Parts: sequence; structure tokens; C-alpha cells
Amino acid sequence: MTHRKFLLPAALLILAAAILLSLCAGRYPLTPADLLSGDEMSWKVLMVLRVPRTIMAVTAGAGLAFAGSVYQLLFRNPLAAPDIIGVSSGASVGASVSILFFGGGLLTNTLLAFTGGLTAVGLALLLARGGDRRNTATFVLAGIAVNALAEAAVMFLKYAADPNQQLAAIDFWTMGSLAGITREKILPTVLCVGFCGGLLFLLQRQITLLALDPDEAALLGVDVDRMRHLVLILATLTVASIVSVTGLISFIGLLAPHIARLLDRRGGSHALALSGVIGAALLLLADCAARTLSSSEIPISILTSFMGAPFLIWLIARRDSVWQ
Amino acid sequence: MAMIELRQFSAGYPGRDWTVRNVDLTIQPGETVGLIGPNGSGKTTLIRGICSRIPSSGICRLAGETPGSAKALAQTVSMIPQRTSILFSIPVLDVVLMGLNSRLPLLAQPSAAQRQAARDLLRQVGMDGREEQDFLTLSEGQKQLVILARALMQDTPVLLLDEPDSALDYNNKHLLLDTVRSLCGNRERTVLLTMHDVNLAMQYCTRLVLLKGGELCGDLRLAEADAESLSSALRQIYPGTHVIRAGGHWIMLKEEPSCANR
Repeated sequence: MTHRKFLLPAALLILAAAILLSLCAGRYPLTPADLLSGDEMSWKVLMVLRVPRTIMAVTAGAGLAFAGSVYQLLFRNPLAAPDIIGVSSGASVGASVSILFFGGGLLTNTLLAFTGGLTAVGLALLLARGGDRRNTATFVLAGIAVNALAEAAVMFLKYAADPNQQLAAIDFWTMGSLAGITREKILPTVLCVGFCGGLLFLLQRQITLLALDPDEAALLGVDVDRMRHLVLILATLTVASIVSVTGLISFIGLLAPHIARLLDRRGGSHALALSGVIGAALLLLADCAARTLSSSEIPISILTSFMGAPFLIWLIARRDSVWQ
Repeated sequence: MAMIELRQFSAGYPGRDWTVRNVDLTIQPGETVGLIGPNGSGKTTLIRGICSRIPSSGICRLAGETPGSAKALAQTVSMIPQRTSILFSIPVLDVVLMGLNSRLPLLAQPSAAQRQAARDLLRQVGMDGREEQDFLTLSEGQKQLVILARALMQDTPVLLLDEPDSALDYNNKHLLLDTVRSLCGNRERTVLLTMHDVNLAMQYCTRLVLLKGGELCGDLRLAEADAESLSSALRQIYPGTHVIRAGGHWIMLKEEPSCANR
């Protein structure tokens, strides 16, 4: 597979092009000429709006892709997504509570969504302790139970919300957006995703072993319970730190790892790095479309869902899967 | 020092009575022991109990020590399961390198020398040239050979094989067991296999341990046994059989029903 050594450089080139596009595209288009001429407004748009937004898109895309890749191996399921154990639905509850009872400000939304995401996953892990912990299906079932509870809570909060403002705010949050991302907002997410994503990258060898049957992994020297919990917590912190700021972003965590594995069947840390780059590029392109396709900004999950659904259909139609 | 020592050892599953009860068994270094018994006799349960994967009671010592952490156990025992649980595309070489996990620090990667050792092991099991091949594209027999290479990479004094022949055809069964014998038979590595096929066990093992209803009911060293003692022992779990010697091997045959019963 000699093409393999060109995959990451090619993906990085595409990412660089997507970054350039993201810095320039928007309702106030920027060109290199504007910037070189020293136009104050252009530099302000670039530094205050475009650069933070672009950094957030790269961080969120890469983080969701890392988490998705890890979840697919951990749960031995190619359709596992970052939401499989409830972090996104828990974050939705937190954000809905913030909008309904605390005014829906950016800071309270972020804090409560982060808390909600971690609480939901904590609940799922507690529920899983009551079952057969050797079986990853126990975690999936616990996640389904927590998702159901969280969705019921969100439905109730929507029912109780003021239909003129709060209901729309909740719905908008659940569709995700990178609008309003500022320099102050990106730092906690970048630090959290950088730290947790970096550790997940270093633990890639262990994560591959966790993708085996627990008995087989244990007999290869893996402390399955501890390592699984550690990896779940790192992946969950990654996702929670992203969705608490951006709202829910669908499909990137499912799409990017699959594309990476289709291009690089070897898996391992190379495929993980590739999925991060692909996730970042996909989210950047979706965000560019979100702010240029219409006069008002389109919630980003609409675009990522339009990208993801046809891909899933194509995946079903494929014969040579990378999973057995 | 015994390599595997079990004293009044029982093992089973949560919420149920012990499946395997009060087993006393000592296996010396270098022995190749076949654990045989009918379905449900507790062969796999005993193996899983030895590997601390299910609740157990009594004494279980491996290489003179009671297994502690997963890492410590993996440095003493390696296992070839009936079927590996690898579900995703992965190069054959990376599967063999999984065997290094118990000896590598958490975040470390295999060195170039270790990768070369893995290649050498693949050559020894007859899988050279396939290092970069996707593991999922191998036949079942080839997969078992790669898993054998992985177990050898773990380089443990004890090797367990749980019904290694159950998913393999005739040729692949013999290929795998011939390879195990040639790579483990002359060294101090101790091998414990669970098997359904008694004839295969008698061909490749130096000792047979018989399990019935969760309890040991026989322990025979094949070099010292004769047809009568083997037949008598095996009839406890396989009624209506007898053992003959042919072509330098012991062979168990099912007796024909008498004319009066036809």
C-alpha cells in the first residue's frame, strides 16, 4: 500500500485549503489583497471572528472524529458515535435547563451543558456497573437508557418553554452552530480537546486491544475495566467540551473515522490522525457552507446530516467492509 | 516447581453452583496436556478459571505464584482462543505485536527489533510474506497460526489452547497442532489444550486429563499407558469405545453394536 504514505500529507493539504476558505468565506468575504492592504475592518473580521471560529471548527472536527474512532473500537460497533453513552443528550438537558431557568447566556449554557453531558455519562457508567461489565453491550444499553431519559427531559423542558423565544433557542442549540465563537470561548475547549485527544492518541495501542473480547484483551495483559473507564472518560470529556460550546454536531464523529479507515485499512495511530484531519476538514467545509449558503446562518448539524446520510447509504451498499 | 498447580480448585459463573469442582492437578514444565471431556464437562470453565476470568476458589498457582494483575498473568500465561475476536481490518504483523503488550510500558510502541522478532515468528508458523496482509482476509486456519505467533510473541512459560481445532478443517487442525508441537515441544514451555477430538489429543499430547460433570475422572501419561488402561479410562466419558494402537498412535474407536441389538 504505497499510497498510504501520501494519505496524511494529502489530507493536511486539503485541511490547509479548508482553513484558508474558512478564513475568507462569510457574509463579509475577505481576500488576501484586503489583508495585505491593511484594511482595518478586514483584520478585525479576521482576528475577532474568522480565526477563533476556524480554530474551533478544526478543534471540534478533530475532537469529534477522535472520540468517534475510539467509541467504534471500544464498543466493537462501526456505527458507534460519540453520543452512544449519552454525552450529547445529557448536554442537551443542561443547555435546555440553562435556557429555561438561567437566561440562556453563553457562559451558563456552556457550563450547564458540560455538566449535563458528564452527568449523563456518569449515570450510564453507574447503570453499567449493575450489569455484566465484561460485555460492551451493557454500556450501550445503559447509554440507550440514559439517552431515553435525557430526551424525555428535553421534551418536557421544551413543553414548558416559552414558545416565542426559549423553544427556538433550545431547538437552535440542539442543531449546533459555530456562530458567536470568540477568542475567550475557544481556549477551554482547545485545551481540553488537546489534552484528552493527545492522551487518546498515545493510548491507541491499548484502545486497539480493548476492541477485542474482554477475556482475550485481559490475557494480553490489559486491565480491561480500568482502561475502558479511562478511555471512555477521556473521549467523553473531549465531546462534552465541544458540544457544550457549539451545541450538537451530528455525523462528524461517525463519518470521519469511517472515511479514514476506508482510505487506510491498517487502522492504528495513522488512521486515528487521518480521521482527526478529515473530521476537521469536513466540519470546516460544513461551517463555510453554513455561513454562505443563505442570508441567515444555517445550523451546522443540518449540513453535517446532509453529508452524513448519503455516506451511510453508500456504506450499506458497499461489499468490502473494514469491519467483519 | 510445578508450572500449573491446582488444589481443590473450583470455578464457575456468578449466580450458579460451581461448574468445575475440587480439581487437584499438577502439570510439570514441558508437558503437553490434553484436557478432554464431553460437551458441558467444564473444560472451558476450567481454563477460564485458571486465567482468573471467572470466580474461583481453592489454590491456583502458575509458575509457583498466584496470579496478581492482568499484566503479571499475561507474562505467565498466553492463550489461543477457539476463535479470535478481531472484527476490524488490521495488518497481520500488528496482530502478532499485540503479544508484546504485557512487556511494554503503557504508552510505548514496539521497537524495530521487536517488529523483526514478530516477522521471524510469522516465518516460523509458515505465514511469512503476509505481514502487511489484512488479518480479516485470512482463512480460519491461517488466523489461528497468526494467533499462535502472537501467543509465542508473548513468550510465556504456559500456553493454553481452548479447543484450537473446533473451527478448523482436518488439514488445518494438524497444521496448527504440528506447529505447536514443533515450536513448544522441545522447550520448557508447558501446553494445556482443551479438545473434543480424543484421537487428536492422543496424537499430540503427552498426558490426558479427563473431565466429566465438572470433576476430574482420569489422568493418564500416554507413554506409560496401555490399551486396556486407556480404554477403561475413556469409557467413563465415552461409553462403548475402545482404544487400539495403530501406526505408532493411540486411536479410540466406537464399538459396533452387537447383532442382537440390531
